[in-house]
Amino acid sequence: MNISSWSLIVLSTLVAFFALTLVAGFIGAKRTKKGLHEFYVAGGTLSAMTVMFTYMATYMEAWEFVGMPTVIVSEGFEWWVIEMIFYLSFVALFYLVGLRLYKLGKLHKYITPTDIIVHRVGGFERLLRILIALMILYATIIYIGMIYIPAAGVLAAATGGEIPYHTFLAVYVIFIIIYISVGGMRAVAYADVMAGVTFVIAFLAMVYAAFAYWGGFDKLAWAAYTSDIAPEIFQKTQPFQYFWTMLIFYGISWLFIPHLVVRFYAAKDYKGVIVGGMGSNAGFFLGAFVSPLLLGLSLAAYYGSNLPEVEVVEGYVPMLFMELFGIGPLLVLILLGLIAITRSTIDSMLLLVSSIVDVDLIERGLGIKVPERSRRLVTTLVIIGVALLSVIVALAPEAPMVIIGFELCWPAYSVIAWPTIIMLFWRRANKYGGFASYLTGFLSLLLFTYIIWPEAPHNPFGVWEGTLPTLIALATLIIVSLITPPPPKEFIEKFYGLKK
Amino acid sequence: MKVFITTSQEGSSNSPDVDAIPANLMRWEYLLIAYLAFASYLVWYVSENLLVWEPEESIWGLPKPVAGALMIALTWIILNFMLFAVYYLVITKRIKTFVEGGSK
Repeated sequence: MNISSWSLIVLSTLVAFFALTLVAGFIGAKRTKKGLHEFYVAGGTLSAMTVMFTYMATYMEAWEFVGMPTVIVSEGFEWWVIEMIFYLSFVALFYLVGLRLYKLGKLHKYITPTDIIVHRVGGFERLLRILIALMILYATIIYIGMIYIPAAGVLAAATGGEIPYHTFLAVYVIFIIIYISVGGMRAVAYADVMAGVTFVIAFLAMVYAAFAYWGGFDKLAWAAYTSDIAPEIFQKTQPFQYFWTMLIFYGISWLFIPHLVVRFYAAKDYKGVIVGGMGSNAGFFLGAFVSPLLLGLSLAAYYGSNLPEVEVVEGYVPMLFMELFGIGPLLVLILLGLIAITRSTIDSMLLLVSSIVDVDLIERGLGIKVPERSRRLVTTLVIIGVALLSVIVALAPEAPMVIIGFELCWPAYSVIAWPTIIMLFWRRANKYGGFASYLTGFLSLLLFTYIIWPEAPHNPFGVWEGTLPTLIALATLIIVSLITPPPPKEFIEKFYGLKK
Repeated sequence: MKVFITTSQEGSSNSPDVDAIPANLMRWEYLLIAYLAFASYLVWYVSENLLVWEPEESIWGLPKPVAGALMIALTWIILNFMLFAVYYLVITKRIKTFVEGGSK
């Protein structure tokens, strides 16, 4: 098989990037002290600056950089507007919820997101750990698989299909497994800083290039809006209630997204939460607003309805860069940025899921004691298992990653997050209501999605896919808690740190 | 009573910032509910009025859907800096009060 020198450069870029992150991994491993708290949440000592980069790197992923521009031309502009709607509620309540999670994390030295849930519920610990672990596993496997799609799709498209999508998928997964198994949270945090810097450089290069090519933002916007694909993509197809439930249920549920929760635990002090949150939210303005808008409009303006042929639609983005800038160092830099942002989310998800299986499921849920010496082995095996299982989602994707996220992945997080956030503030919630809410939420989600209404949006009311299961979970929490005895006063005082 | 068998760190002393963050909502935080009502209106306005293909019309010199997205994004980025300033001041002041209260 003849492979062009450019395709080899693309492959080498991937290898070089992971070699650099491996160095960060080894440094992380050397600095990682013994113990779960250190391995999973860096001992709760990350500074505001590091936390800011880890928030940003975790959120600013292929979703914004590749998925959103793509979905603007493949599904419609409204799907990207929905993402902006998400930030309206997420940013507004970030500090409110984040500071409480930080406080409780420091008070009780939590390790996994499940820790805070089972502690607050205050009963049925083993069963609840298993249930929450399964819920998070379900969502995370879809999530990771969803990010594999652009990770491999971008690189395959950059080679013009010379190196196939599935080859890049295999190489990518192997590198991810090696690197994340080495250094734990500290390694992820160090590599996130590197990814953040790479991303910023690539982003600035793209903004400059996009402006230079189109002659200004307004000209680009009008070129896109008057292209032959515009009447199709600049239309509303979803009812108002879909947008509104995205604001309320989707936006707020991300305040307890598991891989963000562990970053609240990892913050050294409250400034880590506040400064880190402000900085990362500002970063989202560039990463989630400016960048996808520029790229999505550029795709519409440049291609119109003659979109290029690619293995997965996320390949549109590198194709556009190749057309605009040609093959050269700038394109390599942009590819590096794209690799960095896909990796930064996947590794933190894998680390999270390894902690969930290792701590919640095996040790505390099933009660199997694993010696400290064998712990790393178990963790590595979990990472390999989940990384491989997630490949199933990416093998033959039927929809763009953004649609997979909205329809299948985020609803699962919503049924975990909403009851948890309510229980952080509603002291009357008890163990019966808490346990029942997660159970009914998850079961109704599976029932609605796969059996009763298999077609999106998985309900007959035109609301977001996660809405009905979340409402059922909340109704269960409130009703069951109110008809059963309240939690003991002493327990509530200890949980909220009211009594010393 | 055994309620949480794993990682509770009872008896350890907390840093002042942990004590300074209230478990309950502070009174002014209820204003965020009013903000969510405003955000709902904004979502209604943008989704019902601006997500259209009307190339002969513009807002701020931009196509309507792009202007609508800009309205939403500006709202949350301004809110971000505002809330950062408010929380930073409030929590810092509460810490100071806690430390001074403890040293007396």
